[in-house]
Amino acid sequence: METGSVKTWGKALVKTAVFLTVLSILFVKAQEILKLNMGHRGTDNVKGFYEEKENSIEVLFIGPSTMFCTADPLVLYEEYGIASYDFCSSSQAWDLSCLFMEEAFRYQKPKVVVLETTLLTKELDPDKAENLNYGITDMPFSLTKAKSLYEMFRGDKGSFLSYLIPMAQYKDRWQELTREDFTDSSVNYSKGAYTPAKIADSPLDFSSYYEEQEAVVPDHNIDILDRMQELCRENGAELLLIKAPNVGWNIGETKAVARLAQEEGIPFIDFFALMDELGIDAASDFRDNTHLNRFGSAKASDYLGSYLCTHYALTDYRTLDSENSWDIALQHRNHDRKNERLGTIAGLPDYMSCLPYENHTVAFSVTGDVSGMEEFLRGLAQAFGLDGEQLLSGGSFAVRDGECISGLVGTAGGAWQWEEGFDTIELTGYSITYNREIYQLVDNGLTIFVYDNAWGKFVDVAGFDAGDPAHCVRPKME
Amino acid sequence: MSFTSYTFFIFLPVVLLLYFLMPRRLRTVWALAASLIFYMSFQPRYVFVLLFAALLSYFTGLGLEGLQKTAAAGEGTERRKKLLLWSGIGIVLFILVFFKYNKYFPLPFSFALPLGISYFTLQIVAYLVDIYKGKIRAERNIIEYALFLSFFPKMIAGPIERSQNFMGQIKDCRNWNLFDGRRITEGFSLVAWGYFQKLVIGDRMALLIREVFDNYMLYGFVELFLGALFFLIQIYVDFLGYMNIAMGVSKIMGFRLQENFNAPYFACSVKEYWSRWHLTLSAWLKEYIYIPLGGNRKGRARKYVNILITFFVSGMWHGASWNYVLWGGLQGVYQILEDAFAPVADKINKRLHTKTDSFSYRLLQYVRTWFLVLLGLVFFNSPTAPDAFRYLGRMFTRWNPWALFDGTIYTLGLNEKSFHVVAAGLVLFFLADWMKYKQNERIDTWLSRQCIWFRWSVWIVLLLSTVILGAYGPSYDAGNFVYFGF
Repeated sequence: METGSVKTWGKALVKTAVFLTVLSILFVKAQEILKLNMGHRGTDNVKGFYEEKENSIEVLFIGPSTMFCTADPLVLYEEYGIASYDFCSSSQAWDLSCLFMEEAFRYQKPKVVVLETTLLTKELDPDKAENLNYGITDMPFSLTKAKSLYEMFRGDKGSFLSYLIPMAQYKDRWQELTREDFTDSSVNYSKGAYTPAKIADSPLDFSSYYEEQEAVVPDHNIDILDRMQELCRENGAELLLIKAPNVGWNIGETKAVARLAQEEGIPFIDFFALMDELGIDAASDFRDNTHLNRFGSAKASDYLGSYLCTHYALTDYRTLDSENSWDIALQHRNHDRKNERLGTIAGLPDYMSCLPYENHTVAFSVTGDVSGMEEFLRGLAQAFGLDGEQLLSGGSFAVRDGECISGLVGTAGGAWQWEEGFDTIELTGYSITYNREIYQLVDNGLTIFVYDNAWGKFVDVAGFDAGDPAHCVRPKME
Repeated sequence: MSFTSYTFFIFLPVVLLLYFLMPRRLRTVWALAASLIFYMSFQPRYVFVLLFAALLSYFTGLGLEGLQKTAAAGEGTERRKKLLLWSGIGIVLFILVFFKYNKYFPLPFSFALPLGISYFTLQIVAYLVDIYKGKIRAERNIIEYALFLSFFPKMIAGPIERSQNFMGQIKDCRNWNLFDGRRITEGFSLVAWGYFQKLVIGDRMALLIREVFDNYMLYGFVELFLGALFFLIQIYVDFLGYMNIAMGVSKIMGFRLQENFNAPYFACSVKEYWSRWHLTLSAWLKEYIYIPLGGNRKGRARKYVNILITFFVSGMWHGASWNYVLWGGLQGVYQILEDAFAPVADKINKRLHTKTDSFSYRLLQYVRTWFLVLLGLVFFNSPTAPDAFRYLGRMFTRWNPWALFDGTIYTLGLNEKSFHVVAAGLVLFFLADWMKYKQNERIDTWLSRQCIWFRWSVWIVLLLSTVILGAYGPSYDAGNFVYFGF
């Protein structure tokens, strides 16, 4: 470099640094927006983990979806005061579980780490390497992550780099971006659990589980388990292994895991063996062949809570003075469940009694011949200070926090529009439009649209035919 | 280690950093070492083919020059010179022919094609012929000579550099002050633009091209024409993308590679197209095939034969199959017909008072050129000549215009949004090409004249859109550069 140009070069270096900083910020932001969004909790429980207050979690669950569908931290908190989190990811390979544990200890000091063992008997399958995305997408860059991924791909530099800098994994995500990709909160109010109320279409058949097959735990996975034990020792945590029930698992595998656990001196809970004792029903407690549903998970979590409280010195967080994030999460869950319940109600009277007016906007639209429903509609109009007779001839109105905010929009013309954030609801005498999508109202009867103002999201839309108000229909968008 | 591989993104910064920090006298050594590492990352064993060809041509060159000095000695020396020249060229061409066409030899085994062999062979031939003709002196420094042949940005797909242009730069590079901000940023602009062309436009278009050419028997006129039209554009975008990356990297290192394109799709005739397309190959063919054959100095008939032979060689150089030969032959036939019918066309235009200097007339000429080139490229991109004939046969007989309107075109590997990306990319691409055509200015130099805010915005948009919209990653069958195959 010429000595005379040192000043010029200083300027150039500063410019380059500024440019690279701007570019990096935009790159990271773009990566955040574009990253995997599978539409279920398989990814956002990782993101949510990093939002948790440091050193606030006492029990940490690590493993694949069978873990976050089995242990429900909110049940554990509500019933036992345990502060726990499902730091899991769908199809989490055993190698990845180790990375999760290393990562977890950087932010938390759990007293107990519970590992689900579904993938302990399986080696990382390169053909299923894409599943790693569920786990690593929301995990920030760190040397630990880089080292762990490098070991997982065992020298395959192309794959290693494409997972370490995961933009390449999100190809074509730009084609499916929605508002949620730009606005979703990182906080996970279910504490990582995914426990929908859905029940499997048919009872699960566990008969093949008892047709014992030889199974071994791969040496590589045993080495990883040893590494995880060492990590727990270094961080003062106890390790606990569990196996959640699922079709496709075999008693031979259970025995292999149990044998290994015994050799390693790690306690092991086998939920297969506990199914009868806990009343986990193959017909009603699973949402599919692999996962417990809300009801099954509640039973398993209840047992887990009791076991954890008995065997480990855990703090009852419910007794602490200050409000903690599990309290807030519970409030969210209760709010969510109220909204969710609306979607399961069939009859008009029940629906009306469950309508959550507080912090909600509810739109009613009356269309066509409403003979048989007149009395109800007159009462409804009266409750909100509207003219019942006018409503019977058709029209719409909206209610917020129990107050009518629109007046009656009749069929003669006119419209009423209301905005909440980026959402728009428009009422005319014969239509309800939500974000430019028009709902097909029932021909003769009442259609009810519910929007949650507190969470800024659509909750439900239900139609009741005047001739059969006991059966609800779910209007589609036109 | 293709330019689009992850490892190249590690390799390049390391090479550049060390190149800039290296003592000046070691720059060529480091550039050669980096080039050999780059080459060996593809085919480690074949580095010996490259080194053998380099050594052979190096000593042949020295030998030729030695004989040159004694040329006055008489007839015998001239014969020895010729013998040496043809021996050198013969061995190098034998290596090329052996590796390129060994599948046609009755051998119990076959060899893969060493990467870049078609390019460095032509460089060697030109080098030896030029020494023989006394145009240049033989190179003394074996390291510098090896770097001339193997310089990694141009190693795999050209440009086919002439020693007159490149050797001087290599010799001079120890005197360069590399820390020239403007040159470096222009280099990076070219690289960024090259990746955008390749990954956002070219590789996305390749998805449709692959689908249509692989399954042409399922499609009619609209799909097949679209496939051919896309290939017409993609081969240029892809090759120019590669060239821009190669030129950009070279520019950062201080080297100036020859340009290979000059807005070829703004050519009014196939002849003009060939004066704008793959310039270094065209120049090589002209100087070492067409002119030695007699060029246009021996009458019209001989000129046409020479054109045909030249393009036949061009076809053979591109690949060892009939479809390439037919493609090359077609280019020759086009030019002969253009030349033969030019007076007739002039007469017709005069009679009809056609405004030949109007834009609309030029546009028609562009379109005619595109169409003719497109037909040839069907041969170029088909696996065999019969496939190409069937492709063209179906294209002209299966008339299905409804496919334009019923959504069929969105089922050919590119959905509607991808089409939009390709369209937006092509608008930018042809704007840049138009600038090159009208003002003879490349995007890197044009950009360096703009204000910093605009420059930075363009770079950021280019880089981010390449990363976000580029057709790469595990879900894509990453296409290599089209010209890597030759």
